[in-house]
Amino acid sequence: MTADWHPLSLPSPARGRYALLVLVLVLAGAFGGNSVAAQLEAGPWLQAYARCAPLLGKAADFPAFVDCMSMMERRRLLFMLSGAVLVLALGLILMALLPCLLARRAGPLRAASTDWQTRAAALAAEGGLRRAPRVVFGNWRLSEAFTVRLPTGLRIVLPHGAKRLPMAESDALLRHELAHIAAGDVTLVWLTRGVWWAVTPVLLAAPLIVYGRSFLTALGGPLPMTIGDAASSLIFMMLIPYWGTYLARVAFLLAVAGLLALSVLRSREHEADLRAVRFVGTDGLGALLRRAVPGRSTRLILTAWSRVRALHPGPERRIAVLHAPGSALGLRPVDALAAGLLAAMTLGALSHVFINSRLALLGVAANRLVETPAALLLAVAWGTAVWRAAFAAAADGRPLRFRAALFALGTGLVIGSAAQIWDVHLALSNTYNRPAMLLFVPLLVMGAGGVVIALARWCATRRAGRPLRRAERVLAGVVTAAVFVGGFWSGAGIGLLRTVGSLGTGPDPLYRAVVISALSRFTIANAAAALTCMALAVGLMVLRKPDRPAVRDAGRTALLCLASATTASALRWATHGPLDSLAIHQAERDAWAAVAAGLAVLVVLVACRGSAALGAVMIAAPPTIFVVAAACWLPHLGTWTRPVGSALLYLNQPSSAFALIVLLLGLPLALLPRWRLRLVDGAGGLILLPLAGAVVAAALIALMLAAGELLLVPVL
Amino acid sequence: MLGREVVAAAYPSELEIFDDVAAELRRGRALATRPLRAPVGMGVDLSAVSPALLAVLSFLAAATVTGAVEWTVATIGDTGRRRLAALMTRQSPAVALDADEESAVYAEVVAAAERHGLDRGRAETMGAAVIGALRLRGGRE
Repeated sequence: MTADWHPLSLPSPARGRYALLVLVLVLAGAFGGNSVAAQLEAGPWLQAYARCAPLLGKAADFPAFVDCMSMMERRRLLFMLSGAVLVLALGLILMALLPCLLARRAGPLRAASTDWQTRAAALAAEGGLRRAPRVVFGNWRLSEAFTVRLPTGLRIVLPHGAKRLPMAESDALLRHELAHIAAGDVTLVWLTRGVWWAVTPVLLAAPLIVYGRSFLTALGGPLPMTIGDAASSLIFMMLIPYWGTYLARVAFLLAVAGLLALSVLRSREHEADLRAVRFVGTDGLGALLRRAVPGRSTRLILTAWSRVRALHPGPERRIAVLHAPGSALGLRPVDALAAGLLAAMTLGALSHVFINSRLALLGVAANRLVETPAALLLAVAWGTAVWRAAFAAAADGRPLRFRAALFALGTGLVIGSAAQIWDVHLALSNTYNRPAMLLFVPLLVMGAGGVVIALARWCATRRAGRPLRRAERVLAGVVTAAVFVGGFWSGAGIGLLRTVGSLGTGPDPLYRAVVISALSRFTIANAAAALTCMALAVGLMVLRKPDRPAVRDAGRTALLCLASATTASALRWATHGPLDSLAIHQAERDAWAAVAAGLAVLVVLVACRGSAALGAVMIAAPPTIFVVAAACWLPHLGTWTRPVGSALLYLNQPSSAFALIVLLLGLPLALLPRWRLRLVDGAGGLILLPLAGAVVAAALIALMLAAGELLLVPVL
Repeated sequence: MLGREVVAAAYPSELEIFDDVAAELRRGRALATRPLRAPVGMGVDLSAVSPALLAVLSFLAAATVTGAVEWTVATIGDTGRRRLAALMTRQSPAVALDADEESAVYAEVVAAAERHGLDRGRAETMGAAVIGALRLRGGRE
């Protein structure tokens, strides 16, 4: 690791994880509001539905149905909004209040001596903080140091035992607390805790309303109400499937959110430890951590459970991480599981909030509104971790372990989609928990994860430990976000087509859904843009200062692209019929020819380098595809009635199809080992690579011709 | 007060909280049983030692002055118990403990400190500090 470069200089995923947690809990508040609406407004809503439902009959006039239901739906939306706003507002109040309560319990707070203040100021400046926090001592009961934001400003609160520490250890203690401030997580921790506490009463409001009503009814009845009656009516209510499921899902959500918050809390301790020793070595903090008494249980189950619910990692683990930072900066499966789970919960929750409103009239665009925030949050919460882990691994010269994390991400997406609270018998419109969705969304998002991992590894390896500049970090973020959005849109697009779409006749409907999605602009148009942007961005990052081997590699790859594109174009010209009434099918065959050229590049590069080639494929394939698409479009220039529209179609369709294939193959490709075929490294590569590209492209074109109409969108 | 002497000698940084801790003890509340752990704390226990020290000394005082605890007679005998009581309550003439009695008191302080949550190292430091303060009172140092 070079002296001026540290993986911690890349953005931390902690903020994204906190944001995802807070969003899921706020959306749970919206669900609480919806449940209250269901209890208070059920009668009028059902009356309105009975009045409007005939509109969905034979004529299936969905816009008229939405118009008819709009007043009731507006009221329901208002309840949902109230629930969400209530949770957020209560969470913000608790965010301000809880630190004050803690400070009060730890008080009276007494200002530390000038020596402590001066040292804290110097260390704050060393850590890049503009303002130093005040150092104060708590009462004699306080056993641990902590940092809080009070109305009067930031305070580092120390226990009196800190005065016994040698200078090196007390400096390490201050550095650790200052690192939390520098990481910006002091307030986020309390916001998460505040929102967690705030959502509980909002989620319990609906069952309490029902119970309260039955209780009041019983009170006004002929028989006196006893405590036993009240308890038995509560048990009876729990036995009703609706409320049993409701409470079970609420308990699951709260437990998962609580455990995830603890997991983020532990990650944040590792980061603060590493930031604290970044410039000064590990001696001081190591000695301080050795004072921590592990207090482990000897029983295995209790030990595992105490680890899950621990506020901090164990001292031995923290010391180990100080000496091997990569183990904490790597891709932990639990983080991936958490990110996937929360992203899927966001997806389902937003679907319920938006899809029943007038936004449903936007059609597929409404789904995009739902999928995009989930994808962006996943990119921030997990994508940033991928880039940091890749650069940390490259800087340490060790392989990046990612397979378990990638599968954990998919598992989290499945669990989050299947077990979210919104699906308690009210799920009329959530398509994201249908079998096809549960298959394709995780599969394509895992593929997107595989692509991001490949790009980050490739970029980190080629940069050989050189840090990313600020603009390059932004580019990496944009690329990551685009790929994850592509994964969500594509996965949900196929899943939706398979679930509700009319797929025409043909072989397997699943296969038809994939083919239609591949060539449909409405499903994955963005994926093409993602690929282009990815190619440009990563190219800029990697090729900024290319070394000699990189230039040689680029030259050989360019020849491969040229040969693949030329072969595909020539064969397509040779087999092209005249444009007729089914010109759209000719355009689709042209698109597949371009895809064949891109796939030839992919196949040859992967055969030569294994999973290490995926990054290069992302750069090399899109231009190859565009060249073939242009070569197929140009000969008909005189015959196009809308040349610009057709040009856009020729740009979009093949790159969309290629993007979908890459996302589908992203997972298996990322799981491949890395190798390097020496045969193509020297001068032989100048002949062998283009030759292989031409052969593969020709084979793929032949396959396309043999497939006939199997690769075409059916005319419905 | 023996506790203040031990704190002044071994933990001078805790003198400013000593009166608060002693007042809590006088109010009859249990000391050092439930330290305040912040949910966002650093994870390293840096509790003050004074609460555990005063809890240990009050136990020692109860054991020696009233003779209600078996170990005093069993380990340091009735004479030793009287000497320790005299040292702890500043009765004159105070007579220093002999080596065996000191060892027994040291071992008991260490064990009691560990029962109050201190690790072995800190408990031994406390034991040595208490023995040092008793020697000063007995005129041996």
